[in-house]
Amino acid sequence: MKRYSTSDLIIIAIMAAIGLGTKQIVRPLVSLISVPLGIPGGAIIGGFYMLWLVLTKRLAPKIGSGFLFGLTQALVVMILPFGSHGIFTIITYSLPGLAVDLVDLLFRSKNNTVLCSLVEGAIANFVGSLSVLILIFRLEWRLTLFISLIALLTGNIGGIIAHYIAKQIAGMITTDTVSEIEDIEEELPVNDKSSTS
Amino acid sequence: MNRKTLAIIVGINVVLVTTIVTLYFTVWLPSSSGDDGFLTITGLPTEDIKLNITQLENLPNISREYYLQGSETFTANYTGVSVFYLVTQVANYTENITARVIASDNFAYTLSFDDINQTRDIIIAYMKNGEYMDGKSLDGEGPLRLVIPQRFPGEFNGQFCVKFVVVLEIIVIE
Repeated sequence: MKRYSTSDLIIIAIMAAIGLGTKQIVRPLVSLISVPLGIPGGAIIGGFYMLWLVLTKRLAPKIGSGFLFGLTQALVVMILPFGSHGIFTIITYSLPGLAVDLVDLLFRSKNNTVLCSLVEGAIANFVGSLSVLILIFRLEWRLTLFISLIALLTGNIGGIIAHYIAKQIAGMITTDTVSEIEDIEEELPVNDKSSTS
Repeated sequence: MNRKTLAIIVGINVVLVTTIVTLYFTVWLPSSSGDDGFLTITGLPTEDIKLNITQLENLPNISREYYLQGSETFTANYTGVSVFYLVTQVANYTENITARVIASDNFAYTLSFDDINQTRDIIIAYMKNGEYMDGKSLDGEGPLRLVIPQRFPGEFNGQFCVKFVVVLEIIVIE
């Protein structure tokens, strides 16, 4: 197992922060659809939210990076005044990350395909929604099934979007690239003025 | 993206959308519109009386503004059937009873006959502001809710307004 570099951790932290930040902006937009239809906005917004998780997995492709993403968000959310489900937050935020890690392992060398991202996004949102439904809302099974299917739909769309975003920016900010930049900086000659004086 | 992958993606999403739309109309809408709400009147010498929302709507209703003070304080227009009417006209009791209103989570509130006789506006509501109320599973307060008007200014009546009402139990006082 490869060790986490600083760049990996930075990418995970940035993605986790973007995921949390944008969630609050997108929520009112999603309510334009969810409120008139009377369906839960959480499952819809989850697709957008899981986009960042899949993106993290593409940009920092280390075992457990999904789990770290979820755990980071859980710890932040627990101290924020919104979106927290108390101690259950640790479970509901970490499980999708863990699920993405497992799916990534299953796909192995094919984890850069759009199908892998699709499955990751769908499974992550499904697991996230299901854990909230079971632990917090405890709905009747038919309603749970309905919401879980919405989560699968929006999650897979989020996964596809994440795949193409990753493709566009992979060359710019993958951890490998950042490491290369770090290596180049280390190799640059140091301008030591004292030696010339 | 090759054609095969595209076909798989489109196929998955078509199946999902079709299933979701079907479930929306068959499962989600009925549950959120209050069709699953039932009031069972128990404690009768004969069989229990089970009334669904449509049957409750066919009974004489009271629709007015209620001020509920409690952890949430608000004014809303509730529509429902008077508990007095349910006890005297549906259950056919006119004295020596208490009416216990029980929720699906077993929370309950007991009203004496004098309570419902003196305040005819105590209702089992099935509508709030002209709309059916969501059930507990949807973080609502219905499909049925006991609504008791404030008996004096400042009374915290919200705590007596039992949510998720399922049973009206008639207890005969010996």
